[in-house]
Amino acid sequence: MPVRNSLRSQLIYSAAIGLTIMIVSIVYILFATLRLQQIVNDQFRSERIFQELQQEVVAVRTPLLNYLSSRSSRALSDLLAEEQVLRNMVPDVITVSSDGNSLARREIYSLLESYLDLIQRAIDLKRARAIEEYTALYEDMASLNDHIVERIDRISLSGLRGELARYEEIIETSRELLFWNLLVIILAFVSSTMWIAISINRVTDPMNRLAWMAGELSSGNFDIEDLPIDTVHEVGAVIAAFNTMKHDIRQYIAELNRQQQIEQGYMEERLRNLKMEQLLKRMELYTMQAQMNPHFLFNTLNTGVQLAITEDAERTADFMEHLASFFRYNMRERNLIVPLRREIEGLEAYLYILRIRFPRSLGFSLDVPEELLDSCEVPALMLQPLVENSVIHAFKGVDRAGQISIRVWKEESVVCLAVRDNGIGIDAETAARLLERHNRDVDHDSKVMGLENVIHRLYFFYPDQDDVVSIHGGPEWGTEIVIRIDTEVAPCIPS
Amino acid sequence: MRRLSRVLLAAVFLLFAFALTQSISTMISLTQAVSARTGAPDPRSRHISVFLPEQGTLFFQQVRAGVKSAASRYDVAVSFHPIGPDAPEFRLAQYSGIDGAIIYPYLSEEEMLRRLEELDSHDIPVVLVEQDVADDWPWTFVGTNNFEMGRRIGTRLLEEGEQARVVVVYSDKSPAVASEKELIELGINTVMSDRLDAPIMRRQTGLNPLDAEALTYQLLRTDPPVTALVFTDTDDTLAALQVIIDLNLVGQVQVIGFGITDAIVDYLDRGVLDATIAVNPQRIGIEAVRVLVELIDTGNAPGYVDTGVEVIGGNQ
Repeated sequence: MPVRNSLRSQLIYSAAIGLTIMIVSIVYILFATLRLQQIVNDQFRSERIFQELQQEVVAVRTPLLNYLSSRSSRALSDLLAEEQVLRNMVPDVITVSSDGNSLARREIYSLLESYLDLIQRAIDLKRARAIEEYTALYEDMASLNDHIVERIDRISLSGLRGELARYEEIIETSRELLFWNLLVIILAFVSSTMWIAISINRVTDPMNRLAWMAGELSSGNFDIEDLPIDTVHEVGAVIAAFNTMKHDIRQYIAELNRQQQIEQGYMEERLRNLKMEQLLKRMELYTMQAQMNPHFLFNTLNTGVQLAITEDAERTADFMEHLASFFRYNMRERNLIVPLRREIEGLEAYLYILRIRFPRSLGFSLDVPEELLDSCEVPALMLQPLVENSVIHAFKGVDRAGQISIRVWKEESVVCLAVRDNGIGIDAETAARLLERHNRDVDHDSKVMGLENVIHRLYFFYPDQDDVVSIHGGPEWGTEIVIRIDTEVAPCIPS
Repeated sequence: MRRLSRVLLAAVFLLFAFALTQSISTMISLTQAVSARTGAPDPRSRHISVFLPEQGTLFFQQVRAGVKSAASRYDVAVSFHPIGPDAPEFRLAQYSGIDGAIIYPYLSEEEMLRRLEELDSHDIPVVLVEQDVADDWPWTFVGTNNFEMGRRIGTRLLEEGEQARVVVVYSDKSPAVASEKELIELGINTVMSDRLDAPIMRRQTGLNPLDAEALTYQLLRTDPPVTALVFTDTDDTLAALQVIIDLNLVGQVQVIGFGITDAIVDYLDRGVLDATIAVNPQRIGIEAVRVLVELIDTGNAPGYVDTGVEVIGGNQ
């Protein structure tokens, strides 16, 4: 475990370094201030010492006179006490140097030592009652005492003048020192604060990013990039866990989506199958209803054919034979996909009937290449409802003869089947409505058996092919319905 | 952002280090400056005192300069003190802890002898400079032989080859010479006794450097007139020469001055001054220190050291 990079260590290090900078700076400032005080104090120390010395030299006069005049033991003890005080003020070693002040100090201390020796001598003379000698000596001592005081005055004054002259220089340097010290303490505070702030930011910044990442994850955004783990150990561990969690959740969600898509596809497939089954059942029902009794119908039609032949009504016989063929294809064809030949044969039977019904008012043309008849397969019962639709709707209110053309051709792998009339045409809105893919049940209207039935069946067989059927038309142009079947795409036939 | 804050932190740290360095540097320089002032100066092995009159004439300035120049050479520390009736330093010198004294006797003879004996009783060696004291005891002397000075003055005066009426002007500014008037005049008389038209006249000036001006006016108006003026102080010489120039008497009165300064040399070159008495006060100071150190170290020294005297003419 990287102990040095732990949150606790980082906080301790940061606080310790910041505080150390501050403490060192404060200690240095304190030291500098004390040193400055000492320097200024030293400037006048010798003057203070001499002032004290001068006071003591003056103070010894009274006990000396008292003793010499009274010879009392009290005066003697006072004198000796003063003498001892003065002796203690004399340095043990007085060096000789070339400096004038130093020499002056040496002379003062020498004069003082001599004066103290004279005090001893005066005491001896007093004890010996040598009145004249100690009287004369007292005069010399008084003169010497005055001289010492005067010399101290002079050296103090001289020293004071010298120090005062230098004092301004020291004060100037002190101001400079105080300025730098002020700068030191300010910069120490600023740098310490910045150091701690940066250290804290180093810890909190990843946590802020972590919070942002948590917000993104909670809002469902799992595509954000991983957060870098260049931070303290604890936060790094949380970030790593978050990154891992994000990856896991993203994979889990992807898996859920995939399963949902599979399930949705399965459901759509199932629904389509159900619809197709329903459609087939209904178609079967319709067929059953239409068939009623196909054997009876076909036997009856065959009887009619034989009757027409017996009566030499050949045209009636042909008509009934084509009618029987048409019913046979319509009622008996159970396959959903049939060869094109079968579809065309059924259509031709239907066209024969229509030609008999509308010998003058309608004309029909059929253009189907021979090579396509056996090579192509198409959904059953596609063309006949389209022709029927044209016959019923295209020529309402039209006085002229109508023409319906059925054409089949191939464009690469796509087989195109077109039924066109030159009737009243179809408006775009109606065409769009017819081509619309409905989610509702196809046979919501049980009467749908014509064009819509064809379109819906094509959509069922080819759900992924949008242009499997198209309607073109307009006023004075007619209507053309084109079915495009990709032979390379297998029709979707329910199992 | 993080990079910017680090750069800022580095900049603040640099400023902090700079301020701290400046502060420490200022503190060190302040301490060193104080230590340099309060530190122990050049130590010396002996302490001597020099007692000279308070007036700061050129003569005494040069003596002081000589003493100072010899001090370091002979490893002595020197303190200078005034000498005179009102100066207690000399009176109490025996108590001041000195190893020796160089003294220019500037007290009454009686007082001077008493003080010298006091110093001697405290085993403080003494060297007298420029001026001797009359005593049975041969006090060590360093300075000019004033008899020799008089002799040389007389010799210079003889070069004029006429009967002379000579005035010697002494001065309080040169007390050493003034105190030995007799020796000087004896020297002059020794050389030119038969050429003197009248006894040598004495005059005296005070400490005022302009005293000689009025005196010269007075001397030049005497009748019979003075033929030679001898001055024993530099200031007196300069003041008198200005009077002679003003009275247009250059060349008519023989003037022998005192000292070697730029102004004196200039007058010599221009012929205004006939000759000048050249003593060597700086050498007096040097020799005094040398002899005193010898006395301190060995207890013996030459009793008399003549530092020499020259009378230099304008043609020299």
